[in-house]
Amino acid sequence: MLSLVPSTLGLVLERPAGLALLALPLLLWLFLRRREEPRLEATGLLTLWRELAAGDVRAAEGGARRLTPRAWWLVTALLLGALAVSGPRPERPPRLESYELVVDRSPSMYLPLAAAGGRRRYDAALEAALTWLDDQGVADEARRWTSAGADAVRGARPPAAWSEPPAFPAPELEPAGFSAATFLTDRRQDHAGGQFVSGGAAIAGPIGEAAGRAIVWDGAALVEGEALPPRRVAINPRLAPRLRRLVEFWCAERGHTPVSPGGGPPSLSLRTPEGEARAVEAEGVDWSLVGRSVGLAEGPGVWLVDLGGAPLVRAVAPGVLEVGLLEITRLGGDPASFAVAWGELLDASLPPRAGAVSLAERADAGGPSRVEPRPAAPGLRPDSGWPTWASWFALAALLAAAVAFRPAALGRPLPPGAQ
Amino acid sequence: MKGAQPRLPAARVRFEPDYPRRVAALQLRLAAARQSREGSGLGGAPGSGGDLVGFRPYRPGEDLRQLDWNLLARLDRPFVRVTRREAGERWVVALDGSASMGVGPPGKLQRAAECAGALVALAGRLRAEVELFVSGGADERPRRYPVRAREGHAGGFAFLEEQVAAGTHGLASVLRSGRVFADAARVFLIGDLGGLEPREVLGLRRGSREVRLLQLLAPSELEPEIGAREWWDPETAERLRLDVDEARRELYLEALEDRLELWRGLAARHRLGFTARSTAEPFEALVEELFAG
Repeated sequence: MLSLVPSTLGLVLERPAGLALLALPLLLWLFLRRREEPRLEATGLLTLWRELAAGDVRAAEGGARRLTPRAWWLVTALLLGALAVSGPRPERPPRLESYELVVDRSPSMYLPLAAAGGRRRYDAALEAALTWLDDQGVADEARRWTSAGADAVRGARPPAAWSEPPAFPAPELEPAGFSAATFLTDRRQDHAGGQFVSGGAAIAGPIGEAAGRAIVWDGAALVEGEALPPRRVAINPRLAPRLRRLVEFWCAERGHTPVSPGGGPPSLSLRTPEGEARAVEAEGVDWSLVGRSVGLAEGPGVWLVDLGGAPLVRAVAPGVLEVGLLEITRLGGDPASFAVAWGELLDASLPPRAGAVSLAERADAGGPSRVEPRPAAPGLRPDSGWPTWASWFALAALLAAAVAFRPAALGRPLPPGAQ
Repeated sequence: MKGAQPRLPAARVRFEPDYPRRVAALQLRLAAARQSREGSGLGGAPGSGGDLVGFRPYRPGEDLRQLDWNLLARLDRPFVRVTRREAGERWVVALDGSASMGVGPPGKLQRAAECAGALVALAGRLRAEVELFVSGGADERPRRYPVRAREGHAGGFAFLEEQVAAGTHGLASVLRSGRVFADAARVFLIGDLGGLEPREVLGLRRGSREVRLLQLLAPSELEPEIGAREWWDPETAERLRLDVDEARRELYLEALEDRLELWRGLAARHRLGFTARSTAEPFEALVEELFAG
C-alpha cells in the first residue's frame, strides 16, 4: 500500500499499480497537443478571423494546439478514472473494536506448509491475520493475543516467543469457548468466529519412540526408525524418598536413566527448591497425602496444591518439574491411583524428542482459508462515515466523461433573426 | 505568405437535371400561397402602370410620375395613384459573382443561381419582367441578362449556368450602376454581402419598391469546425493561419452574429427584407423565405 502525501491529505492507495493508468490521460494530452498540419479552407469572412487574430497572442504562436474544453474534460475523466482505479482512501483512524486472536501453538503449526519444507504454517497464518488487521486499521491495543497455556497480551503482534514451539505441551483450546474469537491455525476449525487457516500438506517424520527406537511415519505407514539413546532423568536427592522410589521405578519402566543433578543436561529434571519445610496435606483423585514440603513460587503449570492452595508440584519449563515435597508421612486412598497419576505427570513432563510430532499433527491439514474476523468487543467505528474516495473519484470521472461526450450541438441554428 | 493559388471548391454553377421540376413545384406553392394571402389572383402586385384602384399618401423618394397632380392642386397634399398592373412589373435580381461566392460546398454562387433561377420562373408566372445581374467575373464587369416574360425562363437558366465565381467585385459594383434599378418594383440582392455597405443598399429605396437581401453563407462560415486551419480569402488570396478551438469559434460566432445583427437592424428600420441562410439549405426554402417574407 502506498501512502499518498500522508502528512497533508492522509490518503493511501489500495492499488498503487493503478497509477500506471495515469499514462493514459498523459498520452491523450500529448496526442491532442501535437502539432497538426492546418487545413486550407476558403472563406469569404477572412476579416472576421483577422479581427480575432489581432487580439489573440496565441495566433502568432503557431505551436502546439490548444485543448478544447471537451478534450480537457476527457483528460480529466481519464485522470480521475486512473485515481479511482488506484483505490485512494483516507488513512483510517484506528478502529476501536477489540479482536480476540487465538494462536494455535500445537506442534503442527511449526511444521512447514509443504512436504518439501519452506515456510511454516505458523508464519503463514500469522501473516494473513496481520495483513487483515492492518488493512482494517485495527489499533495495536485492540488486538488481544491468546494462546493455550499463556497469558493474553495486547499489541501489534503476538509475543516473539510464540514463533517457537511452546516449552511444554499446552492443553488444547476448545473453539467453542471462544465463539467471538479469531483463530490462527493450520486446519479449519468448527468455529463460528473468524479463522485464518494456513493449511498444510502431510509431513512425514518421527512421531514418537518405542523400545528405544524411533517410530517414523513415512507418509503412508509407520516404520521403525533408528535406535535412540536413553533419556536421562535428574532426581534431586532431597525429594521425598517415597516419591524418589516411584520416579526411579517409572524410569525403569520407560527405559530412562536416573541421574544425579549436575551430570549433564537431562531430558527431565525434578527439582526441589531450597526453603523451610512445613506440614502439608493434599488430595488427588482417589488418593491423599500428608507430609512436609517447601513452598513453591506461584505461576503457571501447577499440578498439585495443598489444602490451602499453595503449590506443591509445578512444571516450570519443558522437562523441569519443581516438587516441594520433602517427606510423605502418610499416603491415603488408592496407592495405585497415586502411582498412575504421578506416572502420567512424568510422561507429560518429559519433552518429546526433537522433531517428534504426533501422527495426527503430521496429517494433511488441507488448503488455506479465511473467515472474516468479527470484533469481540464492538466499539465505535470512526471510519464508517468516511466517504469511499474511490467511488467519488469514479463518479467524478463518469461525470467528466459525460460532459466530454455530451451530444454536440447539432447544426447550430442559423443566426437568430435570419428568418 | 501566399502560396500557389488553390482552386475554389465550388466556383461553378450547375443545375441538376431535376432543377426545372423543383422550380415548377416551387412556383405552384408560392403562387398558391400568394393567392391565399391576397385573394386577387396572380397579378395582384400593385405597382406602376395599370388600372387605377385608389390613392395613398405620397412617401418621400417615390416616383413622381405616380403623383396625382390634380389631388395635389385640390387638397394641397401629395397622393400617388395605386394601380393594378396590366403587363407586369420589373424585377431586378442581382447576384454576387465574386470569388468569395465560390466558397462551399454547397457553393454560395451555386445556391444563389438556383434562387435566382427560381425567381426568374416565378416572375414569368406573375407576368413580371426580370433582369439578372451578376457581379465579379474574370473581367470584373457585371453581366446582365434581361428575361422577358414571353420568352420563358430557359434563357435565364442558361445565363445563370454560365456563371463562375471569380474576381473581387461584389454586389456593390452592381449597386453603383444606379440605372439598373431605375424602374424596378422589386430588387433582390443575393450574395454573401461581403464588401457591401448598408448605405449603398439604402440608396435603392424608391417609393414602394421592395428591396430584399439574401445573405448566403457556407456551412464552413456559419459553423467552422474545430481544428487547425489556414484560412484563405479567394478574392485577395490572403491567408491566415489560425487554429479553431472552442473558444475561438465562440468568438467568431459572436462577431458574425454582431455583423448579421447590423443588417437585421438596418432592415427593420428601413423596411428592407433581409435573411441570412446557409447554403446547406435547399433553394426552395431560401426562395420561399425571400419572396414570401
